[in-house]
Amino acid sequence: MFHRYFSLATGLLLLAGKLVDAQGDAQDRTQSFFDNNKSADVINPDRAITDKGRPSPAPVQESALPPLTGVSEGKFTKASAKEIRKLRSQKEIFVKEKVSKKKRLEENVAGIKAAMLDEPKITKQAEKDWEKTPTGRKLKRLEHGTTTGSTLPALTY
Amino acid sequence: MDKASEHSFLKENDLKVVAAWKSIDAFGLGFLALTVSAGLAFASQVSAKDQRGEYEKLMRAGDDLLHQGERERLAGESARHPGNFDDALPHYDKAIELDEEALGLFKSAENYAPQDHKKHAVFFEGVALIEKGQAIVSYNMATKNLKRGAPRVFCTALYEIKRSIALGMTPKANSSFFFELGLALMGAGEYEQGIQVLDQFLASHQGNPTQQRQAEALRDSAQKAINAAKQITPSPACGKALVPIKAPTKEDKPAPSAKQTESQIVYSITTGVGYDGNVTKLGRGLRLPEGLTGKGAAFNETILSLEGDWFLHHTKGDDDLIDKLAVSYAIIHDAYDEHSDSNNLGQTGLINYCHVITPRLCMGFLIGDTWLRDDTKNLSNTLAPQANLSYRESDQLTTKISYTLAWAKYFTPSTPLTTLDGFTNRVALEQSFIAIQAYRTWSPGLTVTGQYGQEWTTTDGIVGDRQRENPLVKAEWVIFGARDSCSFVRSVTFASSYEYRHDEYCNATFPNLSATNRYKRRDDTHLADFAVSIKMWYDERMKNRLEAILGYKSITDNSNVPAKAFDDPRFVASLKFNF
Repeated sequence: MFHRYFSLATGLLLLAGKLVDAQGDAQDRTQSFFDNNKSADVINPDRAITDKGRPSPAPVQESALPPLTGVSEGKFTKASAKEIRKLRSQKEIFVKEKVSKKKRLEENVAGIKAAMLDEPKITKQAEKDWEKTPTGRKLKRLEHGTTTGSTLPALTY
Repeated sequence: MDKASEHSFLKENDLKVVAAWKSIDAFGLGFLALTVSAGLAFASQVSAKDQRGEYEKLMRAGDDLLHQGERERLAGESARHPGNFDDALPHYDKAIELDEEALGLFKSAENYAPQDHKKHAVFFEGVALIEKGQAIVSYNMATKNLKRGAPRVFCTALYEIKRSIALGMTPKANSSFFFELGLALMGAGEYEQGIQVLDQFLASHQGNPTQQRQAEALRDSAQKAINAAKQITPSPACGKALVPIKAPTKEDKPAPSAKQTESQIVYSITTGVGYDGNVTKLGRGLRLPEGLTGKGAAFNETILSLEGDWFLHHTKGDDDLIDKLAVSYAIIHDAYDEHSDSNNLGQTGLINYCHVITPRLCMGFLIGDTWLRDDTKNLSNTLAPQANLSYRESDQLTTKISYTLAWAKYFTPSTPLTTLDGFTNRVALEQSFIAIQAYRTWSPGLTVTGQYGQEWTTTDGIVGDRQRENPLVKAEWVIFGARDSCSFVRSVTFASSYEYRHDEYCNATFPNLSATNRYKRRDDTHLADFAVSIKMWYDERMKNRLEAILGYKSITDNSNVPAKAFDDPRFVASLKFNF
């Protein structure tokens, strides 16, 4: 009887001895899988140094700058309005002076009566002369910029 | 040339060709050849003239469309500023359409342009693209449903303007040259260069006042943003959506968060090849088992990952806090050449909820499960719930404490004494330190993380009971980070980690359970891991589409059980595709 129990116990122990390796292998193999694929390690998911096993990309070092924003014309109209008003009154004075000067000259030199003079033509010429002056050019540029609010380049070809 | 004129042009030429063929008779071949030569010479002269005329016509038509497009965009802006967002959107759409038409005309003009005039056509292709980009940016400020394409459009604009420079374009040829180049650089995200170019534009006193004021405004906002970007700002504790939903805005500055629940689904597939120096973890000095040609083998590794994320906004005081719920699944297959017994198929599921309590404090709960099998049978299943708490002590330093309870089940044959099924308790303390965070292309970031973990494993048998001490240090250095959206290479990162594991087994089970002089197993394992990751291919949604990863791992296990002491170097080169 004793021999029978002894043989059984010895058999079980020997079997267990062989199975230790198999079991150890299963545990070691699982650990090895986690070491090779750290993102799959559910016991310590913070081990991974790449996001190979994760679809969610880690934050890319990218610009934190805002997108390019347009600037609407309203802001410029307000800012330039004062200067435009000033230049326009200057233009008015310039044109008036030019017209009256021309009139006096025509009347005195050519003896043409005031009623006979082509005033719109003289005014138009005076306006053209104004546009040739630096302040005239400035006004034109400002008016163009504020009335259109355009940032487009002038067409060249 | 529009379609109608193109059609009539072709028709006219067809008739000429038919007439020419009809005029052929038996004795007139020589004369015909002479006539054709003369005709071609004449046609080429006429054609050159026509081409010049067509070029100028197309340029003027394109310019006209650009102005129409700009008026539409400004009409959109006029509607957006008082908050009439729905009214603004059709104007932006129309502006985009007109800008695209203008681009088409300038492209046609380029074909007709004399060689020394091509630069103008190409320059205006860039201008049309900038206008389109600006319209998309403005559109996106008036809606939550973002229209994509602005970064790509600005990059193409930059490319076209650079091409016009190569063709001879200068600020003398067009007084707005620097202004447009500056806009293209800004739109593409290259702010520092953009500021320099706009400074040049302002210094030249060229352009109209609107351009000058816009240049000033852009330069100032970009400078402020650069200053802000230079500050160390840790990313939100629980993360944020790849493309956060923004609320429509009346202002001319970046739109604020819509503060509504956001969701995203992301997928990735990774595949790579490598070489493992000791596939079976064969003990040092042990003989190779029969049937194997060597310890090492080439292998293929394939990973498919799916993840669904939900971002939940809540407020505490003035702070907008974002919780994150992530559900992910990954399947991993490792296939070894001539070591097919070592092939692995792992499947991992993870549910992770991160809750922000205050901007500095957050708690998380995650539950993960990994089921592992080889090609023929199940090997193990590990289920691990974890609770953690993170505290951001400063903008640079974050501390995290976690507790994990893992339940492992092994499917290989066992006896009551050898069964390894059981539980592992793990507590870990982790600190992350942002050593470098800078607004620059080279070396913009360095993060160092240290972790100490302690584990206790108790099993149903006696073989697997153990305690583990597990310190880990890892560093992530961003070597290169692209600041514009045009660069194909987005970032280059070098990451490394060193981990030490001291496993102290509780019971004397070696060399085997029947031996008289049994002893306890004790392992000291050193794990070094190095990886270079190159993120590529900018995408507005995914940030990067493609990633190349080169990795090297080295495991040295100094066990007191000779069969368990091994060395295992492993190299792998992978490509990851995000979609």
